[in-house]
Amino acid sequence: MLKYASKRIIKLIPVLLAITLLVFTLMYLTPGDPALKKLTSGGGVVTDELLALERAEMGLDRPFFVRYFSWVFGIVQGDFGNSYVDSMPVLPKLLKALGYTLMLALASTFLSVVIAIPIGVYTALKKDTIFDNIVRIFTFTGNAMPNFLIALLLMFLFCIQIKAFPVIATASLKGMFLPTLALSIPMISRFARQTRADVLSQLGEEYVIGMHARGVKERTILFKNVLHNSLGSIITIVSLQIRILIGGSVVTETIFRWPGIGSMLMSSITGRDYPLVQGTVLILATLQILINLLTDMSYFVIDKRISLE
Amino acid sequence: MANNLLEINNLTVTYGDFKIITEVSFSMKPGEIVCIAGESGCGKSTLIKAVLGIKHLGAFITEGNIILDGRDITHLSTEERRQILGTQIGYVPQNTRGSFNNIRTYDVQYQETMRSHNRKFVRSDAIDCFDRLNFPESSKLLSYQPWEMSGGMNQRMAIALAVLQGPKLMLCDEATSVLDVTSQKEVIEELAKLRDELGWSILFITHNLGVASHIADKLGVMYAGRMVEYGNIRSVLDDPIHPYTRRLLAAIPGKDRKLPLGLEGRPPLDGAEVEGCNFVPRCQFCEDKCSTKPYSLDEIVPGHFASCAQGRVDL
Repeated sequence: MLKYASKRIIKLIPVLLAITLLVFTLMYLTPGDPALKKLTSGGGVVTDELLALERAEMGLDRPFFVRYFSWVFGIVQGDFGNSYVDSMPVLPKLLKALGYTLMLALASTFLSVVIAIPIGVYTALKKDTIFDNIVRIFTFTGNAMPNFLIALLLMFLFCIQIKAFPVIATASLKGMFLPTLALSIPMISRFARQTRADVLSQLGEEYVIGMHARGVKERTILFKNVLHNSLGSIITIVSLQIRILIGGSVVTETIFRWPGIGSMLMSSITGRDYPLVQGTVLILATLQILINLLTDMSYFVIDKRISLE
Repeated sequence: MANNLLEINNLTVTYGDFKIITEVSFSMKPGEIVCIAGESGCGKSTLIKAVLGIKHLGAFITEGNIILDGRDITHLSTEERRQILGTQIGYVPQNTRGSFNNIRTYDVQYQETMRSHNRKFVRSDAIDCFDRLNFPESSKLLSYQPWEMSGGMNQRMAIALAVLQGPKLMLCDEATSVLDVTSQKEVIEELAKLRDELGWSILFITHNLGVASHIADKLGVMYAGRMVEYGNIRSVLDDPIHPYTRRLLAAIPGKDRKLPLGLEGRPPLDGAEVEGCNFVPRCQFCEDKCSTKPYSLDEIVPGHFASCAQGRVDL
């Protein structure tokens, strides 16, 4: 398994190189001049000489490949360049925002898994009872509602009606509560529905009868066998959700003024802050690929029939 | 008849509103192997499900009772049922993947089974048991997962686990039907050996009369939910009484490249509900009284019961 992981990580290098080229090219082709943007944001009169001087200072006058390779070599040495907007190094800024996003992503995923899996298992066991039907109405609605609507509803309820939370979230446990909840509600719905469906299909498997027939405890059958065999598809959907969340939930972050990577990416694109955009995309792509790798490896842990080769 | 291990009295079993088994009665002594044969759908598997009594299986006993070792087990609570399953009643299913979770090791599944009955799982005991049953690679077997094993080996692992659990009665539902002849022989010989050594009683469901003649002491023949013939295996095979049993025996394929006689028509779907004899539509010996005469299993020859002896001299 370690061999497999290292193989996959080595294979990652050409993929990442391709991504750097793609990102760089896309940003290069994007209309808008960062130098002009920077100068006009100061409010002064922009002359041609000033613009040329600024472009030379920012290195924008160099040919495409020279700029590309100097950027890539910088990254290899851990230097992601400086922001065009405030001339500060990109990496610490990026990691800080990523940290905020990861906090929300992991907290909401954890919360969702912890709540959704027991609900899913229980509704599968109580299929077609009143409880199951009520939960199904909730999970159906939760699944269908867009994130921003849930966020606004929560805000209305908790910040304006009950006044239990501030409208602008701060990066604290209390501030995390509402954005986490807003992200969790649709996820809980999705995970619970998936778990219910998988557990139901597993309960119909013949080995469940075989285990009952030798008097294995119901709890053991359910949690050590049925749930174990259902984990594959649950992991698939959880990993998918994490990957979506890590890209930053722009809408939720904007509504709660959460300083995550989604809102940072948006503002750096409008500000033509190329180094920040490129660095962010590169880091996010790496994370996505790593999560993919972890997901594939966890399939193997659950089911040895799955070949890693 | 206190010395019977299993007594099934006047058992009627339904699936929902649908009656599958009607008024089946027979008993088994300790150490006895009873085979139940019949066409698909005759209710032989339902009989096993009724004895297992797992509620997920949907078989519902409406009349009669099942006595195991002097205790009425017809209607037990889920927990009472769980406690006797495995420890007093063992089960080998038809599906060779039907005993174990395919993607977890035998080791954890053996452990879980023993612990469910508050018993310790000792690995060396399991390995001793594998050796006794002549399993290959006995010391490594527990670390495998069922999907890595052949169907026959999987059945044998289920039997070995039953040996560790130590039930008195084994229920085998077509346990050898899907195996190739070599594995079939191994499993059958194993069961016969365990009967001799451990005194197991085995209720063996099969449509293969060859297998039945090899291991059974008694043979019961079921037709459309009713037991139509029951007796010592030799007596039933050599001197069948019921017209259906006679046709069934004639329908066994031989090696002479000729297609056997077969049996025209199909058993009635609602056979268990029919008044009188339900074999009438397919019977060449039936008379007017057959459609009205109530069903009863009578002792025709000592120790050999049948519900009908029409046309017996003709064969």
